[in-house]
Amino acid sequence: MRQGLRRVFFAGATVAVAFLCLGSADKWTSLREAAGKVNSVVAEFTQEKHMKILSHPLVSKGVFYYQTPGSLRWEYQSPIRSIVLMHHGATKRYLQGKEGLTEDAGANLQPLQLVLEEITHWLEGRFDENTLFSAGFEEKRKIVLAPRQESVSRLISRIELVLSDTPGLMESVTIYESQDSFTRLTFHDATLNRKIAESIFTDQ
Amino acid sequence: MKGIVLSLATLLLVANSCARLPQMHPAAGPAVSPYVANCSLPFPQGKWEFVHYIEATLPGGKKGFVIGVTVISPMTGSIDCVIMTLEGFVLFNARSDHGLVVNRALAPFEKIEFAKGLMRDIRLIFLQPDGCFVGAGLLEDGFPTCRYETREGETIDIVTFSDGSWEIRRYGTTRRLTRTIRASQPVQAGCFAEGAVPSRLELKAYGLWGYELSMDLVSASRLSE
Repeated sequence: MRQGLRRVFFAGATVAVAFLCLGSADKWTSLREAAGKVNSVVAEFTQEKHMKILSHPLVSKGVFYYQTPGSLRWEYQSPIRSIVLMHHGATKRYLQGKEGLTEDAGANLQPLQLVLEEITHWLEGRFDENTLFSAGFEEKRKIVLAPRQESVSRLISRIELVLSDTPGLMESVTIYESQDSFTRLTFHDATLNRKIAESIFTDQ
Repeated sequence: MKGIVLSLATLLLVANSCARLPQMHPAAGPAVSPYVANCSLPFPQGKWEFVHYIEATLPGGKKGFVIGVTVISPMTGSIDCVIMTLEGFVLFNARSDHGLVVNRALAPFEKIEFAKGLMRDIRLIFLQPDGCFVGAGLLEDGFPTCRYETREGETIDIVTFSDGSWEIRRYGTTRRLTRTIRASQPVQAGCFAEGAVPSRLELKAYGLWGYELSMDLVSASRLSE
């Protein structure tokens, strides 16, 4: 146990020191290089919606699968089951209805697609290659994305990404709509470079 | 052929929206008490926060799925309402107190008529009618009812059933049925801090632009005023 903790501490310290020693441009290159070694991610996530109106955060849980070059399955398992699939540039969404899981064909998936594309960019370590958000380091492991356009800032005021000790992974993503309304995704139990069947990204 | 189908569809639609205000046989004297006791059954006492998963069926059969957060205070008559996607992206955020304040409204919820209509629906679901109490008794079909008349000349019936479920029916000034809200059997009291809350509410809006909302309860929390 103690040895495990020590290993985690050393891994964290190494990453922190590496970031402190690097210049900003080097940091982006280093992140891209680390992400380049990752071809798939499977992780569980917990989503917390915080709003002034809510007495407690609204908590959802799920699992996501990512496979290079841009396939994603984003699945909520509680309190409501829903699945978003992104594969070969097409996005589909399935939601729990009265008659079971049904495709949400009528929905405007544009904002959702925007966020999912961002997530795949981050998983590829491409934080600074973005036309919608400008990226900067705020702390050693925290990247802050600020909207470049006013039309985007009306929807999302900023995004905070906290990088994991494991290269190529994120610890959390916080999407701020305003100061008192934000969504925090925390990732855990991640496995890297596991073979994922294509059907995971095509079938509900 | 297409014309016939369209005419039949219109007829069906009109027939569906033509349910008229039924007669009520009012109870009198001490017999009225048990009916009156049920008048407030659908309405939460005190300040509450509800989170619902909502399946909306819009005109033309198009479906939409959202999360709705509602905070109501019968004492102040205020309503706070947020509609968000499952991913937590807020589409609509408004407050109705002495007036209506829309804090955020993204397409397709950006029209003020939507905000007004939504607040009216929420008020009908969660707050006791603020109109005049007409009486209580039995409907033609034998169900106990409390009847109110609003300032606008509409009639609201609160119909209660023996299993603890209930239905709210609103009739327009022409006495045609415009809304129904059907509640499932309440979740056992004790699951929540206080009171029993229906696990599902189904709202039907009748007419040419009718729609349906199926609201499944995710959580209910009693708040302090």
